[in-house]
Amino acid sequence: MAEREYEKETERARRDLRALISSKNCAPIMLRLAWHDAGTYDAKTKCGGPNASIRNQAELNHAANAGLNIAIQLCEEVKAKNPRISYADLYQLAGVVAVEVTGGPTIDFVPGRKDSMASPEEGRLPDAKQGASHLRKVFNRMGLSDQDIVALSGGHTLGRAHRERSGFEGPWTRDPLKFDNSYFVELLKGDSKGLLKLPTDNVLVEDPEFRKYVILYAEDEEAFFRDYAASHKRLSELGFSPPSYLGLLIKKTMITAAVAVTVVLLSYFYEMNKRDSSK
Amino acid sequence: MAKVSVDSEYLKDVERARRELRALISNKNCAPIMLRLAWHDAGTYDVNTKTGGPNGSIRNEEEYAHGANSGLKIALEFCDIGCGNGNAAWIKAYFKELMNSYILKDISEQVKSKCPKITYADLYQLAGVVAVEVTGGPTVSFVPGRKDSKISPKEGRLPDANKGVPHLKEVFYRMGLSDKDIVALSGGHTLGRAHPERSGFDGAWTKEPLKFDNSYFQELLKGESEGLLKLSTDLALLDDPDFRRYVELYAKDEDAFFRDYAESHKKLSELGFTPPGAKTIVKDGTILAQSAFGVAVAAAVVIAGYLYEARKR
Repeated sequence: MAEREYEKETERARRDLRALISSKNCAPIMLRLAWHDAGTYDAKTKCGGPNASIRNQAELNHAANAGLNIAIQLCEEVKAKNPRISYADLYQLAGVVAVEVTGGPTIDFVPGRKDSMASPEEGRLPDAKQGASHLRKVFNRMGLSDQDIVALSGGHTLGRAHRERSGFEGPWTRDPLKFDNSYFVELLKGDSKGLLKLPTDNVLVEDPEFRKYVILYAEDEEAFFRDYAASHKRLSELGFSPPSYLGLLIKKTMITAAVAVTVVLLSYFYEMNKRDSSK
Repeated sequence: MAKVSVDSEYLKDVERARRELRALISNKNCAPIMLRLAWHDAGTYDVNTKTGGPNGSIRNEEEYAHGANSGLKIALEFCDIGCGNGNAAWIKAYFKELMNSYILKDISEQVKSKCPKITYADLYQLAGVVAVEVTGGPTVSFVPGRKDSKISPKEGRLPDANKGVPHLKEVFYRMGLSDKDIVALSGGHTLGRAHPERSGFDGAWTKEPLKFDNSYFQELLKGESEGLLKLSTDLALLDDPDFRRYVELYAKDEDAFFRDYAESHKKLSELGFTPPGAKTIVKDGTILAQSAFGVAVAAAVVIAGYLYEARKR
């Protein structure tokens, strides 16, 4: 079955991504690639989202995507070995693996996204210099909530900003290759020597709704991992309808029931035949 | 020896350790030495006397001082850093030396017993499993519950790289492993390199020593490979017809190698270990649930049919 073949290739791509991301220590930029492909989604118009449109030079040229051509090139190595997997699935799988190999939670990955060459207009991703209402506007447009905003911001536990890309400089945490809740711990500390805090990071402690989650995640890493995994999955599936577990279960149950009914009917007719012939 | 109670707290500690190990091993690109640590702790097993095996005894100074274990102290230290066992004397000394570096100071501040419950025996085997995973290898099933032991076996139980077929068979059969295991496990040389100051040998076996794949076997069949290492024990795999057929299979079919490797690695990591309790943890509960559902529905339909029959009569 083609589905089974695609799944096998997805697993092969997963292993290749693990090797690539671990050996090149490039988890942060891979996570950013996945996020920037998905984060263009508009829940009303249903366009944008995780469809690999970010491969388009026009979209790569958006200011928000500065530097991401590096991640695109790295993914080409894996695509070359696994040609069947869609780029959309590959980029989201890269994001999932980036979180895994840096010690983060396991994020459920469902394959099946289709590739698109239609790029949205510039300006759909958040602007680091703005505030709470901007953040809410951008994420609500995607169909995501306050909790998603805070949990996903925790992705800044990885990586750093680069002057030549965003204009900002430096990592948010002491170990930028370790996925943990230290981003929130640092946020609550206030000014941390040598560590970055964007205006949009500071907003999370200033706004009372966001702040609740910051405090929770700073105190309880398990809670952060649990919420992060759910939010990341949601983000990676914006505009994508994976075949649902329930749908499959119902399908399988119906097939089993149909088989059972057939068996019963056949035995019934066999009985009837026996009786008729014995009369 | 304290009994290992594999309760839900222990299992949570294992998962925490697994995540810490992934970060550590990816970050420091130290998968090869971690795999070697796991193998050298397990590979001392004697199936006749039931001594040695994966029990953390490699932590004992007398054992990590064995010639075969040269260089493994680094891996022992990494495991302690990763899992915050700040009580280890060498960790205290190590950090005292490096207090000036603020990065390590922060790690030592975080080194606060992150995974206090996990035994060293489990930790080292888990490190081996994670090393294979993050370098793109197969998923090796990991069952926790190994007890730690302070008893180290005599030197000489691990294979000597200068020897040949009869020696390999002697060493691995003593552990209770087979020809297939010998060849599959040798595939672990897909990772890492030999170091002149450790084993006396020098260099990597494959072009990508941080990628777990079947290239070790492909290089073996090629014969002389420019700049790549082949130990006597590697070449022995071509000399013996029982070994050679597996080399040829694995060179051709990476999926077959991954399947056999995962099985052999699991066996090695469980030599002399009987998982506590006869509980079979049903990993894929979804398949079980679906089958049960299907059977229940089929049974209901059949029973309904019979009742209908009975009532008609």
